[in-house]
Amino acid sequence: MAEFQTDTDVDLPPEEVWDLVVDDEERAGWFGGETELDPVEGGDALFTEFDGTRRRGLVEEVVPDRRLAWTWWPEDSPDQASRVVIELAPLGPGTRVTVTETAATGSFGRPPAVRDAISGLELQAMLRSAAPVPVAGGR
Amino acid sequence: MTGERASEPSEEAVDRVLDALADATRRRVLEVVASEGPLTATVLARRFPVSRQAVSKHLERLAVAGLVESRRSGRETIWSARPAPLGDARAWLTEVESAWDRRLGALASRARRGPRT
Repeated sequence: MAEFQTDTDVDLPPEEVWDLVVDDEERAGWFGGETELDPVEGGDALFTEFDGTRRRGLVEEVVPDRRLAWTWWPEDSPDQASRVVIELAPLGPGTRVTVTETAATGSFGRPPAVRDAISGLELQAMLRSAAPVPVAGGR
Repeated sequence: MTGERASEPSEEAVDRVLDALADATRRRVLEVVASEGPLTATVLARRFPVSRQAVSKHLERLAVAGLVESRRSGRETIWSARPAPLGDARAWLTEVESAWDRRLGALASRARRGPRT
């Protein structure tokens, strides 16, 4: 399972950030491209990126002002699904926004022990530190 | 990145790489093969406090992920590193990371302009 996590702090309280996340017009402003998302569990979502790539989505969790989760996949490659969780936590007068994206392909017949063997953060650190794997140069 | 779907890493391939790298000894094995290879499991095993058989098992797991490859030379099997799949795993993360950095950066700017009106 490949997992990515990042966060950012913003200057509005969670309930106002929530509006920017669930309102289609507001979301389009920061998400980029066009985006429609029905913020109810089981709701449909559609994201069209600047380059025309389309992703379909299915809303999985809606906890107003706190948490929104959906699974999405490229319209033409439904097997490449990943799950996105956006979490809002109060931070002083503002909000910490944490995003986790997990590639769901890991669920295809992989033993949980292996999937869980490595956390996303460990993984990010590891892949970065492994970056220039010295390839035993020329032939 | 229009029309480059074929060059995008398959997430299953990424998965295999991540599985292979989930073990610290295996990561060390890969490092040594990459920096000192091509070499045999016997030579490699001298560098590790585990048996040659254990090293061979690690090499096989790395091979399934496409991180190392082997060729026969007489009675020996010679192992060398193939860095490409690691690049694929990093490419997946890099792609996801750059998309979210851009989105969250834009969200933070938007938030500075105040709540929805």
